[in-house]
Amino acid sequence: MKRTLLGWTSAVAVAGLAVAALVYMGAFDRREWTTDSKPALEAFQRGLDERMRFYPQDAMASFRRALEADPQFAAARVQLVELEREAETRQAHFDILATVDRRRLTERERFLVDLSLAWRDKDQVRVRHLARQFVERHPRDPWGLSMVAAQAWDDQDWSRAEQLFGRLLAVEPNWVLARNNLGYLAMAQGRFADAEQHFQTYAYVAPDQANPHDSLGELYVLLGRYDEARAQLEQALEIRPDFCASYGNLIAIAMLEGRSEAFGPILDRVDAHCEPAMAERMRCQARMIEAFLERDYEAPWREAIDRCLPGPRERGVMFHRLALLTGRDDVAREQEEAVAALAAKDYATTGKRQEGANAFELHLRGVGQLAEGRNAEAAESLRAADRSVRFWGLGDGRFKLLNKMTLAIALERAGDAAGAAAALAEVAQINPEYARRLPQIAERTPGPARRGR
Amino acid sequence: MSRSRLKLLLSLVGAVAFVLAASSLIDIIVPRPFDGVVLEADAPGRLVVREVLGGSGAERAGIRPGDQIVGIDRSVLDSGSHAARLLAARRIGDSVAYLVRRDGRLTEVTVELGRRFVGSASYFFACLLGFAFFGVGLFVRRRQPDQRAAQIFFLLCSLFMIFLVCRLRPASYQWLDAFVLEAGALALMLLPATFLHFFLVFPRPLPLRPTGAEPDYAKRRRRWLAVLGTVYLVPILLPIAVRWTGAPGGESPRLISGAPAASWWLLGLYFVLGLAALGANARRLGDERQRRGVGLLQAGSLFGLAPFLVIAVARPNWLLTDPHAFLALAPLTLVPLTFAVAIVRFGLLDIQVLVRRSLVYTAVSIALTVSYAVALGLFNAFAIGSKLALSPWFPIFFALAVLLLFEPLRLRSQEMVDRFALGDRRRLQEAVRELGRATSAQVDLEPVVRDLVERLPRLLGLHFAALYLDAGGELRREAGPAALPAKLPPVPELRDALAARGSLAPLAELPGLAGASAAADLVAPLAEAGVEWLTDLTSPRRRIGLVLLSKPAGQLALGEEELALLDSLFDQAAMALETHFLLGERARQAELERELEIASTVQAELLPRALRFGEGWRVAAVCRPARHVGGDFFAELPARQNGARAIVFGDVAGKSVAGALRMMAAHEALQSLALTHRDPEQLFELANRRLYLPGAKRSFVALAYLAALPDGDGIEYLVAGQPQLLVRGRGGAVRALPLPAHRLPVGALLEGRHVLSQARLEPGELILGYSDGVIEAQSPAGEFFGDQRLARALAEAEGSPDGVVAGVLAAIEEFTRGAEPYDDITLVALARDAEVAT
Repeated sequence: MKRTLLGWTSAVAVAGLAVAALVYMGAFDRREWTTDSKPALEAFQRGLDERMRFYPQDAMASFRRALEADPQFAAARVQLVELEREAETRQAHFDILATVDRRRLTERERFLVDLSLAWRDKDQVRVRHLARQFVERHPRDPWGLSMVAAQAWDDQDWSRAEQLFGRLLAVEPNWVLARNNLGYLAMAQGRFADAEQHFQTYAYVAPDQANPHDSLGELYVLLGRYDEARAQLEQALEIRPDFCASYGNLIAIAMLEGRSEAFGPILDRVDAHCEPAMAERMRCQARMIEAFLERDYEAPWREAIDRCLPGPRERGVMFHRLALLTGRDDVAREQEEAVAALAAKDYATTGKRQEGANAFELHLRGVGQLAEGRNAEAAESLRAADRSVRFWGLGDGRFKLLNKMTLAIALERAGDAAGAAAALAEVAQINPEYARRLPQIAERTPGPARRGR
Repeated sequence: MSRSRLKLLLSLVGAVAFVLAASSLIDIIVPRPFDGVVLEADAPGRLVVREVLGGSGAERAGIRPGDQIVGIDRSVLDSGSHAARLLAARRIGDSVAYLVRRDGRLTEVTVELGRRFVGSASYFFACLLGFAFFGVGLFVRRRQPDQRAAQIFFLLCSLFMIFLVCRLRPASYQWLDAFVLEAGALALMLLPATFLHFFLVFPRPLPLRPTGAEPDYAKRRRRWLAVLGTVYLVPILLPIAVRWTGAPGGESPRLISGAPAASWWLLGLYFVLGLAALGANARRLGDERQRRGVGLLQAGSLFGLAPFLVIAVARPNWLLTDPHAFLALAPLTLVPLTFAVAIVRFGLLDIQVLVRRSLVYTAVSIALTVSYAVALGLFNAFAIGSKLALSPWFPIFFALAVLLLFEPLRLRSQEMVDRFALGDRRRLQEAVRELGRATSAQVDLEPVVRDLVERLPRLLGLHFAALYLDAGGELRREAGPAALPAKLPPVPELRDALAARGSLAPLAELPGLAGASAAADLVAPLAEAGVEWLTDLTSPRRRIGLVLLSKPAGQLALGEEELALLDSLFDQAAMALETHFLLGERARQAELERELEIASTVQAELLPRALRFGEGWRVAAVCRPARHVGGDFFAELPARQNGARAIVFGDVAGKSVAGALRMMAAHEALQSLALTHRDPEQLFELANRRLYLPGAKRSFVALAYLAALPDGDGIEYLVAGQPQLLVRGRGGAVRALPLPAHRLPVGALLEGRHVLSQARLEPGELILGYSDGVIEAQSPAGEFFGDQRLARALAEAEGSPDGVVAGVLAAIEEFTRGAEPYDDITLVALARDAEVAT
């Protein structure tokens, strides 16, 4: 009886192993992409890798080669249509995709084709529905995950976006945009080490892209590691001299270091590589900063700074302070109202508040209250602003630091030395260099004694 | 599970273990791009560096133990196999970007890919040691396939091999790395169970109920199955349970060399239990030698395993680097070695192979490891970056060269290590040889018996030995325990089978050797008495007897060399016994020869010194027995005429003593009858009646009677079974006298009457009577002397009867050339004087 049992157990175990092996082999034998052309498949997979690594031009070339090798290769066409900027060509691809024999395709390919056609039709509801449905059925499919993660990002559903991008990276660790987004999400939550590793990994996977170096530079600026930030930004600009965001970050470093003389050479490079409008805007901001650093608050107005920074978003907190410091309360109020109106409009349009919009509004209000000497109220406004903003999304995280510094100044002015010290300590923990500049910032923060033309 | 299935399963386990270990090693040797990173096996899901091989690209790039490999070749890794794929796409010599996490920070480094090599010296040592242990285990099992301890020892050796070769493998990114590492971890978990199992059955199975004998064997078997099932299942289930339930706090359980810490504590517990079981076993042993063996085993286990447990359990981090692992490995080698030696002390294994090979393998392994390390170091110093270093064939040829060096080095080291390490066993073997020499010098039975039955069991630690001697076809116990049968029945098939085998045979194999039915009667009582081995004592001349050997006091199993020594010893004993028997026979022969000499003298004295035949006749006669005594004779009897004499010569059937006795009887019968009956026909009739023995074979006497005729010119004669009488004429011509119609020997048949014949002889003629021994004398070529040669010799002989007798004898001697006579020879020559005739 025992021998029989043992024999049966062994037989069942062997049979189970055999079946498992067959299933395993069968599972890996399934074709992922529908093409009989090996060159097409190789070019396509190279294109996917390039797309994951965010090399759109290279990816397009690869997808085109794949289509040349196999014109019926629907998945390659889907990828190409997503990257194609030329409207007519896009439309031609869409037309072909609409006539594809869907029975030949895998389920993932059918999903991608359907998704493309929904985009063509600008049917966002269907796009979301398709993506959600596909991910429910295939929770580890990178293409489905990338769709729903991007949707969560657009929806500013940060925790879900972080979760989905994490899942995407677990499946495709080289999906660099997911890594970049995760880096910013970590940065926003104050997990700077995680953010740094995400950006570094991005830079490792795509070493000839400027974006990860710029992201790293941005992070290092926030953290006060200015030399490293400068190196990363210069590396980004070496790779792509027209990556203009990096010039802005270089200017920010110079500002934070109090070196206004560094602005000129940077702006010259901006002139050489960036669009004139952007260059003009950056010059405008540079002049404003320079005025601040040199405490010549009237200078920007003499140069009609209000005209070169027409919109409330471009004007920023420095413009607001400059207005208050020069007694232009009406201009400051106008900016505050414009910001509030803009946020309300966004809210009405999207049903959600834009990241940091509320904090911006609260911060401007708090600074205004400081200018009027309502220090306790200002501290409350600034504290509320601090609560509603993260280390990213508004002013690349530096806004939150500035708000904390302003809160410390407000608390100091309100007589709450301990609260001021605690707020300053929070800043020092993140960026000690910046915290050391408290006296200079306090000196440039409006107050009843620091107003007038 | 039946015994045969268990054996099959064990063979399967051994084969799988060997294939796994060998493929693991071969996989390392196969040339492929390699960075020099050895991964930490106990960091599932992460590629953590355990070791960076010296001279490798990783070392030059600054990668250090503890680093985590995050990316290779601009790709973030999701698994080891992913890394393997990326490296496989590159070539040896390529520079590849690595992303490494160290202390929480990421660093990018460039690694130049080299070729893969076996790794550190300690791993090379571990491999050689692992395969050496497997070889020893395999040898033991093949030699003792039925011994339970040998089977467990084989399992233990297989597990050791997997642990040493697979678990300590410098694991890289291949899937095979993970697979063999897991196998090594499983082996490591099973090792303590096997360890404990071994101690439970060695040197004797521990009685699970210590109060005494367990009569219910089925119950006892069930109890053993339960204990062993628990012993083996717990180490397997424990890590599964730990992983399943998770560590407190929800973190993954800490792994040490692939097993959770709990498994290591279990190993420690098994270790203690094993030593306790061994201690309990030792208390049951009565023999000092066995207790010494157990002591050695305990010491080896303690000094071998304890450092390993301390290093591996108490300070598991020490195992992260190979040099420290080596610290744990070095004493660990004591365990199988002491096991082997201890088992040998119980006769389970062959000491020569086990100890000698183990020690030599270890020594050679160390020597080769050192030379390997030195060669690699030199190679790295001078050849790195060269074409040779990049060649995929280099590691293969290098490994082959090392392997080729192994056996010659081992052979060279063998004798030296023998002298150093095998003193005890050599002394035992020398004692057996000395016993053989002493035995061979004996000529008396008693010392030989004492050597075989008393000294030999003491030397080998046997319960007993017994000697049976051949006595008229049956075997009688000469010495040995009374529990053995006093006599053994003759089994010719057994005798032939043992003679054909020519060496000690296990009793259990007898039915196979001699046929089940023939051996059944013999085997059963011997097996019951505890006999395990037997051999035939045979000399070239005869079968002498049988030697039986019991099991030893422990789990005896004689090794190959002991068996060879014992075979030699028993050959020497057989020769000694043969010498003893020959000397006895020689003494008896000498006595017999003396007696025959006397008999010969007595017989010779019966023959008349001088023959008288009558006036005008000359006579000569000679009788030469073929042996000391013979069956021929001649005698002088009174003839019919008063005062005349007749001559009778006879040849009784048979030779030597039997012939002589019959000759005496015939002689006396004729002499006594002739006293009262002078008529030859009547004399022969009476003699016939006297000598006729109904039913007796060959009890007759060939006789011839010769007497002179009353006128003196001829003879009357009677021939009964003797050859025809020959007459030589005066011219030298030879003729035969006619034979009577009834000429049967006297005593052959009761019926029939011998009739007297007459023959006239001319003066000068000579008549020759002779026995059949004359014409049947043989040359060395086997040719008979025959009638023709006799006639020629007679014709050519000198004229007188003495001359004729001498001439014929000379012719016979010349013909036989001194060969031993086939039969007695009698010649009687009568010559009629020529003067008388004139």
